[in-house]
Amino acid sequence: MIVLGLETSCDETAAAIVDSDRRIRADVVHLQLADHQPYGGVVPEIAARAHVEVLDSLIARAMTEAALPWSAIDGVAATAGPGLIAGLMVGLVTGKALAATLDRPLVAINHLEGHALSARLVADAPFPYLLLLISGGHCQLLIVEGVGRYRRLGTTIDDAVGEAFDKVAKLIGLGYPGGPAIERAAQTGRAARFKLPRPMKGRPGCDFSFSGLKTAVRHLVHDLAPSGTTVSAVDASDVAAAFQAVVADVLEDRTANAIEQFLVEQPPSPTLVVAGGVAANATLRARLESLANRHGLRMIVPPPRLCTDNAAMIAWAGVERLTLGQRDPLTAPARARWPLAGE
Amino acid sequence: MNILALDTAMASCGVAFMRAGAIVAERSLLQSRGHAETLMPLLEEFRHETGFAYRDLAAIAVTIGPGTFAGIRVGLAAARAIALPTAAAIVGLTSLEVLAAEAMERTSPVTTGAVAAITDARNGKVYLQVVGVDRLTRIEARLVAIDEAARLIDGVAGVLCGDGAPLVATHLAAPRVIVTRASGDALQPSPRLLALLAADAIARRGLSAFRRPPRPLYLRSPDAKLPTERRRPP
Repeated sequence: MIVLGLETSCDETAAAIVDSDRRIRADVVHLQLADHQPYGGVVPEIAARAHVEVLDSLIARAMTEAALPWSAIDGVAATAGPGLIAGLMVGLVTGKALAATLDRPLVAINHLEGHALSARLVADAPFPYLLLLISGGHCQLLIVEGVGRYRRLGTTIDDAVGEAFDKVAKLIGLGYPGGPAIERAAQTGRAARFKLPRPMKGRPGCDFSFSGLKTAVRHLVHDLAPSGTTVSAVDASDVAAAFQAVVADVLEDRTANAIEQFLVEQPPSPTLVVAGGVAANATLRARLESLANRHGLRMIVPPPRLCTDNAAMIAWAGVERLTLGQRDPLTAPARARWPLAGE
Repeated sequence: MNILALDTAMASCGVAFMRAGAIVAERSLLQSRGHAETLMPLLEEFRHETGFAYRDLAAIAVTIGPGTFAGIRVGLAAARAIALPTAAAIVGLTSLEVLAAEAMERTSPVTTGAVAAITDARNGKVYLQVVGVDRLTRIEARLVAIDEAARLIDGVAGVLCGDGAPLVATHLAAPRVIVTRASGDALQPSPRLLALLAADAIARRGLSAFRRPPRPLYLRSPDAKLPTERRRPP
């Protein structure tokens, strides 16, 4: 089975072709970063305008890259949410029109399901497995029981973890996107120099909170560089290291609670999957890996290309859904909000 | 030559199919929202009724705006997607020139020289395009203040149409004919006329002139004063 996947939920336009033998036949992404940079964040209308102008040529490029005729496509998968509604509509309508024209089934994919199932595109990951989803918009722990079957153990009560990275990077003058910048700066920093709060650590349950940490960093930066000056490179490195160490502690603590809950159910092959853009951070990955090892879990982290927003994971979620005989009607709506598991 | 027409730019969702120069059928639903959910189911139902095949399409006619930003993109995204496997050409027409064509048809013979298609752009502004009876555009589609629109069309267009026409008419000294639907409601782009105008354009310029897909015509920059954060709602 060969599926075309489309992703337009935020500021990346992407098309990919994936088959049921887990081969990525094509994977193309158009980054809009420069279009949004003057505004200091993603502008939904600018994103949507860019999606509609480039998506068709990206699909054509993916077909050329895969060297496949249109008749080889068995289904079309498009992200239907959650995300920025105007952009979602562009990708979903494109998917619907292609599905109709090719006379093939449409699958309207939850972007988070794309992340949740991406581990199965790169490794044998039998259900159930524990999923830590950490990205610019999300921070959740879920048990993935099967395709379309997700049980949430915890989520952030305020900011997403990737959002905290972006905001801290901005505070210490490292620019956007903040994740890679903080990781780089932290390499030479002394984490022990500053004492920062570790929100939720030691509390029962699996919820997260990052807004208090962000505020603590803001106060710290204000003390280091008062009245509109910027912090020195050394200070920036130390703050980055301290912040990253806190995030590692908190993720480890919350995930440890989730592992405990997960193991009670005696899964046949206990596995922890870490997905989302923040999973690209090597320090966090190493901490989670040793945590998983201590508890006898195997850890799977998809490669960075599959952790950030991409269409290959959407196509793969399409393969999974179509394999089970699931498809969506052409009336399927785009959804700005679409929780993976019950609130 | 087979042409499929799609319009979702304004307050209707419409499709039409033209075979060998003759309109076979058209369908429209009056709705200002929900085009992303409605267009493809409507088109598939329409395809089953009329029996056209996507692979036999030579061209797709689509309204590129002005209209609602989301609506403009729904029609264009669908047209561009259908054109991928079928290699159909895409002919983009403004929603205003389609309105003007219907006004001409309803007032024929027009003796006043030109038709002004005017739609309400809110905040004291309108989208305006003036088309002559020779079908040539006199004033290109643009976004203007209501009084500016009145100044532009004074002495040029004797017939007005569109939901912005009454707004502009009050600023004109001489009374004008405002063409509406039989119900009195403002005109919406007719998918049938969209297909016919596209056929005209192809006859004049050749199919090869439409190999590059048209771009959307928003006539308004994105409202980007307040930057939003990069985050997804849960």
